[in-house]
Amino acid sequence: MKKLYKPIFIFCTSITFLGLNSCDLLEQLFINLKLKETFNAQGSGPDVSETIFDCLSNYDSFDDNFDKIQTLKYVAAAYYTLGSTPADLGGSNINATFIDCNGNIILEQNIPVALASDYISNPYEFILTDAEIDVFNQYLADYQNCDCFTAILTIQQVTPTGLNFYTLDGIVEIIIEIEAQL
Amino acid sequence: MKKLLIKVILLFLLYFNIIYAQAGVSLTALPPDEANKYMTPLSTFLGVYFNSGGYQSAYVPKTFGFKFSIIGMYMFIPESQQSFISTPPAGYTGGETATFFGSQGGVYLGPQGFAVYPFGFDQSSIPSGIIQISGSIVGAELMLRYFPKLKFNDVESGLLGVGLKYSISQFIPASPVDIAVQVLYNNLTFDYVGTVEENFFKSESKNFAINAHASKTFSGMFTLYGGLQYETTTLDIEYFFRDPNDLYPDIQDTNQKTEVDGENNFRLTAGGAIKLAAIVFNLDFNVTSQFTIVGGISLEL
Repeated sequence: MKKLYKPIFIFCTSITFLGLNSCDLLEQLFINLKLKETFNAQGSGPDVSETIFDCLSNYDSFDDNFDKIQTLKYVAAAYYTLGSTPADLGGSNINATFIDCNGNIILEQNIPVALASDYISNPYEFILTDAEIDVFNQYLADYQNCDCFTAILTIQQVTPTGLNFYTLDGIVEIIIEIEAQL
Repeated sequence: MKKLLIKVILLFLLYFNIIYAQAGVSLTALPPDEANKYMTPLSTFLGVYFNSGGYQSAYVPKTFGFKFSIIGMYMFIPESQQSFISTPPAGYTGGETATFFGSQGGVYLGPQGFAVYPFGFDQSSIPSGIIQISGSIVGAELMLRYFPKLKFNDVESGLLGVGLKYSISQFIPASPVDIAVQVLYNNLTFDYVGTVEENFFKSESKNFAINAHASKTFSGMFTLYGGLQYETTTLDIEYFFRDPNDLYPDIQDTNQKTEVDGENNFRLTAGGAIKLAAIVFNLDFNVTSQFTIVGGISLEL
């Protein structure tokens, strides 16, 4: 009987204490953070643009987990139009450019456009190459030193020509995956 | 033993603190119908957890008996409970996304930009533990699981679990096995009690089970036992819906409620125990919605 006692004891206590220490497994937290940049570009042409400044730390999901962040990773990005003046505003293309705090371009996409209104309720998804994703991820990897960025939205060679005032309201969304330690 | 008890209580609270913290973070992005689907496996998990370890023998002393048990469990979350098909608003095409125990949260592009679903815990098996005491007299046994409502940072949690077991075989003197029936009820509350409106979270897990079980003891030392159990679980959740995707303006920034039914209904248990002096070691296997292995150590007087 004494021979049985030891293995049974070890087996049962192992299972029990495995249970009692279960919280060790719940260590990681993954969050999809949506950066949402809302532009209100205004001008008289031929290019109309707006520049805005933003920081990852302006987003709660990032700020709340700042000390626990393990990795940040690009997931997806898209542009859509909210409205324009005139309603039939067109151009050669819409350009979205993101620049980090060191002046490096971290994301640049040209959105082909006949009319800006083509993208109302019909977002244009950015398809980045692996190299472009790497560049953006390098910016994310340096979040402790440089979490802010400049975002510029430009509609180039606006049409119809001859008007004094053009506006383009649009949004660029970028999804970033945060891996944090609980 | 005292240190162990303190550790058990603290780990229990920390365990649910972490689980619910994650749940709270995730739910702020989901409307009630989607939150319900996301949380169903957690509701099932709580049901399987609380309805485990109710017995290790069908024998109930006719005179006084006392038992203190530390129970460890290992639950397996099936793949089917790690994802669900999302239903985002009109104009979006949903797809497979993580439940609470799943991995990757879905990202769907539609008329109003991205609809982003939360990640899960990415767990396919979960160990856990619980302690309980039982007292018996005249063929009936009362089991108790209790943690007073304790405040941990900004959350308050409490547990009350009771079980009543009654020996049937005491009325069948010729019965070759011990037979008993048992009813279990466990209630866990977990509430955010801080002042930040956006962190509001309130939950109550209600778990009911009824079983019939039998056991046979050999040489006064080895026991084989098994039983069939019917159980139900409901997880009532109230949470602040932040709607970071701006897809549900009508209910954005309001408290929302959902009642999440667990998928645990029937359970088949088979196991064995060995008694060495006043200490009983037991191990059983539970075929239910989340296959579970239960191991326990009990002090019996």
